[in-house]
Amino acid sequence: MTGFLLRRLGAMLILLLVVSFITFTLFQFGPADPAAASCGQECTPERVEQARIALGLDQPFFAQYAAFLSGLIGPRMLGAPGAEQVCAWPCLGKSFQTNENVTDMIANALPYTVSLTVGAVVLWTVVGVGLGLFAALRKGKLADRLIVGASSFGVSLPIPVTGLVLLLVFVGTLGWLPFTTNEIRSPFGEAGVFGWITNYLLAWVALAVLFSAQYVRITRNNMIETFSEDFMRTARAKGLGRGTIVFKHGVRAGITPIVTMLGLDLGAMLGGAVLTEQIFSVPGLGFTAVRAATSGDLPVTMAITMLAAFFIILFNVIVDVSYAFIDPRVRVN
Amino acid sequence: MLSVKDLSVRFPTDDGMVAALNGMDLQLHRGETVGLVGESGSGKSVTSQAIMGLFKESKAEISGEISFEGTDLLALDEDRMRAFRGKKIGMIFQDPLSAMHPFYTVGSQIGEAYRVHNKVSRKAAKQVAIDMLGRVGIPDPKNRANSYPHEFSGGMRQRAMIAMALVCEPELLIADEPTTALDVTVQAQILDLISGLQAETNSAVIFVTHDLGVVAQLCQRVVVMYGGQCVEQASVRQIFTSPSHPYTRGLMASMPHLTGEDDRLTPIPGSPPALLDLPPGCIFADRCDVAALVPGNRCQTERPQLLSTSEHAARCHAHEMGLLPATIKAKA
Amino acid sequence: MNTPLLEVSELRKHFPIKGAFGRTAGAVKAVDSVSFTLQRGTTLGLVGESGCGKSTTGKVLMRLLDPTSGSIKLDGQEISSFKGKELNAFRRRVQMVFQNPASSLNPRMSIGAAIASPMVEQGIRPPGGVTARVHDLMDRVGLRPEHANRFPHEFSGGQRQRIGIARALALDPDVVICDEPVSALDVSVQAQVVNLLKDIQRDTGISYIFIAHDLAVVKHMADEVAVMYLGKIMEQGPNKRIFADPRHPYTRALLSAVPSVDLDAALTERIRLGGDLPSPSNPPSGCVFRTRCPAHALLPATQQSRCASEVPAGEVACHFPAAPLAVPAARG
Repeated sequence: MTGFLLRRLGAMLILLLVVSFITFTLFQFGPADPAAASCGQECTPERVEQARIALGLDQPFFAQYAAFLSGLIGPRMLGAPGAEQVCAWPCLGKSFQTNENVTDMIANALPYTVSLTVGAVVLWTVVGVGLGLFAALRKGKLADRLIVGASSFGVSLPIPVTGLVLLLVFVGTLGWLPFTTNEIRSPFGEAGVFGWITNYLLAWVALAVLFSAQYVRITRNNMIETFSEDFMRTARAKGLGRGTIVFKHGVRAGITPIVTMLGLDLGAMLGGAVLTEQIFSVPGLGFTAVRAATSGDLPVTMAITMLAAFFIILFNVIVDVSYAFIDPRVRVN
Repeated sequence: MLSVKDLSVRFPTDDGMVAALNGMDLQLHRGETVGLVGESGSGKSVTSQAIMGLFKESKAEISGEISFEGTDLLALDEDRMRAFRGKKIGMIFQDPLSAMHPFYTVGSQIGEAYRVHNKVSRKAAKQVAIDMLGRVGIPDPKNRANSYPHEFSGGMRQRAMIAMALVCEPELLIADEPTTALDVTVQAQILDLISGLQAETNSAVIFVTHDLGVVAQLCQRVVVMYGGQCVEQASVRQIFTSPSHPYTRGLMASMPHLTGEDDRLTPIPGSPPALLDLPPGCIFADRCDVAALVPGNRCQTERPQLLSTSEHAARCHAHEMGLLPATIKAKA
Repeated sequence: MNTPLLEVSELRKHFPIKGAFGRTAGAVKAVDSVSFTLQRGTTLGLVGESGCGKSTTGKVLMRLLDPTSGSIKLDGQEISSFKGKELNAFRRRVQMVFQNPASSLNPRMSIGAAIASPMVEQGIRPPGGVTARVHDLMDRVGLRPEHANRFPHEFSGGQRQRIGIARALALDPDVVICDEPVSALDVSVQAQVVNLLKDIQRDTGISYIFIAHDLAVVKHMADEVAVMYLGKIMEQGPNKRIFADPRHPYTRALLSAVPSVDLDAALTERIRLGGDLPSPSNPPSGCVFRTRCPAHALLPATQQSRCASEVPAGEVACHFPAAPLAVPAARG
């Protein structure tokens, strides 16, 4: 197991390096000129040039890249030569737009994304897997057909549509829920758990409608297949009760692909659910990343891209390891 | 102990109603081993599963009577049937690798089978499981109880499954082709095990198989099935010395044996029936070599009844009318 | 005509096991020094239980797998290293019939096309045309030529196996390797296919290598028999001799394990093998059977140690073929 983990860790580092390199390169050939953008309205060529030097954009490509990487290992010097300041480890640079420390920006944005993710994942897992299981148990009957139909519908609803409709109905028209506010980042703040929930509920529902539709499908199909396996018949022949047969024998055996999906979706969502954050004005990683990318803010974009990649790879590894816990046949390898 | 009367099971499929069982009869007494012999589509597995009540709450249409120690099993609902499964009637299946749950240890699965019907702690149940594994001949049972099914060899796995089926000491064991997927040397071990355990517990055994050799070795009585019906029932000796049904005779003539002459095998022409559109007459008629001897097209129009003389019953017009050619000593 | 049609000498097929970082950490010795000959117009039966290497041997002979070492001579010509054009030409002379009639036929190809495909692949046009030959082959295997446009799922298992045989005969090969051709069929249908194969041999002088685990079927088919265990041949010889007077302890255990339909046969030899099959990646040294051999246990220590040394070549691969076998314990 340790050998396996070490190998995966090594692969992760290499992958992150590759991701950072590609992002950096794409930026070099991008159209936005951050120096000009940071300069503002009254810009003279001299001031643009000054800004360029201050941002380190006059350096050759590889020097810039090396400087960026050095910030990941130790502290780094930032700023115009002569007016340099220390940027403590881990230094991800300073935003070209706001000159804020990128690490601080991410630390601020992350709780929002986590709030969004946690609630949505719990909601779609409970609803998706629950309904999928229910449909599998009632296969062929009316309930099954309704659920499958609803999931087809749900899968075709894009987030912007669902999100806006929900906002319109529950916030705009009925006024049952407030607009999302930046004040509430976690259930541990002043507003408490209830405030946290009411703040993010609509965003969670919007995400859950889309994702649970997929989960309903996969769970249903998987469970139908698992229920037809021989060991289910044996369980019945032993005289086991219905609940034991369905949950202890059936669900446990069929859960593996769902765990995979969940892990990967979780990893992807932590990188920032861009559309949802935009629609609900949640200043999480996705929101921040979009703003940075459209304004040529290289350090911020780099940092969030790498963070997103890190989460995805991390959850991939977690999912692989969890297989060994669920399925003893995998442990041999 | 067990009395199956006129059992019929039909399944709805995309192609229509499949008549898997068409009036099956079977009697079984305590301590008896009965072989249920047939090829694919004969209904032998369906019979064993129907006795276990595995078709309750499914789309199958069942009629007839299954009487076990006075109780009509068909009349029971799923919940009441559960009390019988594992406790009074145990079942072992053909492929132990797929029949056991891949994620739980063998010991826990056997312990689970015990705890369903006996209120004991998990620890106590595990000890029972270990004892049972030892009883079925698995070496080092204490450690092997913590192994998973895929970590056993084929023969050991089948022993574990037998342990699981017998842990509550049921009065009836249904063995559904338990050795078909095993090597012949392993099969021999398992057959020895089953007959040994049966002698110890005096339980009844229904042994479903297609192999007449296994039946000869293990069973006292034989029920030959074809097309969802019992076509012949007799003691083992009678079946082999004086088979009465043309199908049974055909089966014996087509089976290769290790002993005796190796002349040409005499196959039965055609293939086992499809069970979708059963003919009105005898289901075996289109493959039968003596149907022509029965006057008036009776075999094609009238379904024969199962008629018994003392211990030997056969479902055949030709036999009933005494038109069967003289008994050929079955090739031994 | 004294050159054997097929001469196999010290054939080996080892599958490497990959360890960490792609290093080779050993090998699965599926076939480990197998030698036999096949005379023209006869059948060699290759018998054994699962894991003995008989199927792998068949695949290597067909060159579906490349041999690790050893020689295969067809009509005196070394074919084990054939590639490309030579291999193609070789395929016209050696063909194969597979075990599973359901999966060895392409479900999207009509059976006429399937039977014609070897000719089409090889670019051979028989005099009279491909279609005529297909009809002729179908007729030969007992199928109606009008059905050439039907698809495999419209046929029964036995019929599909006949289609497979027709396909194997399409190129008029010298040798057909039959890999468990009847194991997946019902007993009454098995006999049909066995008879068919024998008839074809009688009419055309074709030779067979018949791979099976069912000893009784092999007894009916084969002229020469080779018994395999863990990649090696334990005993080989003429059919009559092997079954009437088996000399290797494994052969004797195998034969005694087959349940007999002869009720009166005294159970003279009930030899049961204990233990599990050793791993083919780590077989015992010398005689691979010694860890389970019932004779080995009864030998004095000085003789026992000899079993760990290389077994001399010959019909019976045993150091002590005349040694008495163990009396079995009461329960297996």
